[in-house]
Amino acid sequence: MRALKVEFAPRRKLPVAAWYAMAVVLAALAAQQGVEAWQLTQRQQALRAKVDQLRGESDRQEQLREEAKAKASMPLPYAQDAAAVAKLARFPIERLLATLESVQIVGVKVVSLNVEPAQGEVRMEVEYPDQGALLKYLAALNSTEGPAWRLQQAQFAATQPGTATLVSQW
Amino acid sequence: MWWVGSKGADVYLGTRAFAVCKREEAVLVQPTEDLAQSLARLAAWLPQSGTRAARLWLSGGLCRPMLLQPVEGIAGDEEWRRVAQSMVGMQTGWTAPSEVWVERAAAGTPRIAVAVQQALLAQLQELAGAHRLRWSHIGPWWGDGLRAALQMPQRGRVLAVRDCDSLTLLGGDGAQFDLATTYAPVVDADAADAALSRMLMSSDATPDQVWRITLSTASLATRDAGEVALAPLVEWAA
Repeated sequence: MRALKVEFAPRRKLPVAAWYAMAVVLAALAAQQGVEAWQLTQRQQALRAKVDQLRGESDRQEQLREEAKAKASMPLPYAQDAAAVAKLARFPIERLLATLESVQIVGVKVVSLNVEPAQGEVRMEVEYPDQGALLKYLAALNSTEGPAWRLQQAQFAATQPGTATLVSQW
Repeated sequence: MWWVGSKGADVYLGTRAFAVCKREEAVLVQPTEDLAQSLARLAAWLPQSGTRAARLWLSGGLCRPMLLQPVEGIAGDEEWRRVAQSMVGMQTGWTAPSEVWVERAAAGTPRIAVAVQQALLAQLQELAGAHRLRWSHIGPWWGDGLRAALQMPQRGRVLAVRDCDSLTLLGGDGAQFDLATTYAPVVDADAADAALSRMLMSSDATPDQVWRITLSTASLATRDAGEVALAPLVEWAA
């Protein structure tokens, strides 16, 4: 056997005032929830804006980093000149000039001297009276200490001195 | 316990008595001739009740149990109510419309239904409403007798609840019921004993397995009946 909760009393109805009170309480709760929801929405929007701002800054930082990286890998505009200057600074110009001064062949004159320090090349244009003098001059140059000279081109005319270009790699 | 701590009154209404207990004291005990007289006693007491709420305990003669055996295909509270309604006339002999209460039980097990006449309930509500009193509970006194009995260390297999106009027998093993019936009218101890003997003859219960609780309006001698409604009027017997 078990206990029996027999009940014939009618369920108690709430008085009207209690229903009104409950309605007021529920309305107040609903209003409070609405206010809190609105506040949360505002806060969420502010946070979203902040996130967007931070994301934008992050993107800009990333872009700057990319640009800096690209710049670092690009040769600088003056880099070639700077390198040329550095190479010229290292170029043994004194030795070259001393070599040229030590070689004297009658009738052969150095007309121009072009130094390309970047390539380490020296191009010298000379006037010569005849082929023999030119060859003597070339042999004399190659007998000095220093890089070898070679004849790149030569022009000879019967009535005037010839010109020749001699090249050496320093 | 759901009734403990009541600050109002306990009112007993039967076809042979009307009684009121307050704070474990019997304040009014009146034998009556019939239900109409009992209702008149109630109507006379209500203006001077001194309380806004009271529990109403009905006698077995006014509030009857029925044992509903499991019925295949019946499911849901409403269907069980209809089954109980259909049995009221046969079980009680009542022809007037009745209100039924049906307990919820596991499918496939017997369950208890309780019937009370609708006209009586309506009259009780009207009387209470007229005097601004609320019935916080309306139920059979034998129901509270069962509750109190189940809390005792010694339990019988059959509980015989006797009050002013009936003998209600409830029985079963463990938590199950296999007996729920009321003999009415049973107006004295001899009639109650005879009804009990008849029941025992047709069941497998023995006299030593019956424990009894009696609500008697015969005397107001102090009794220690434990925690049961209308305790000053109650006697227990093993």
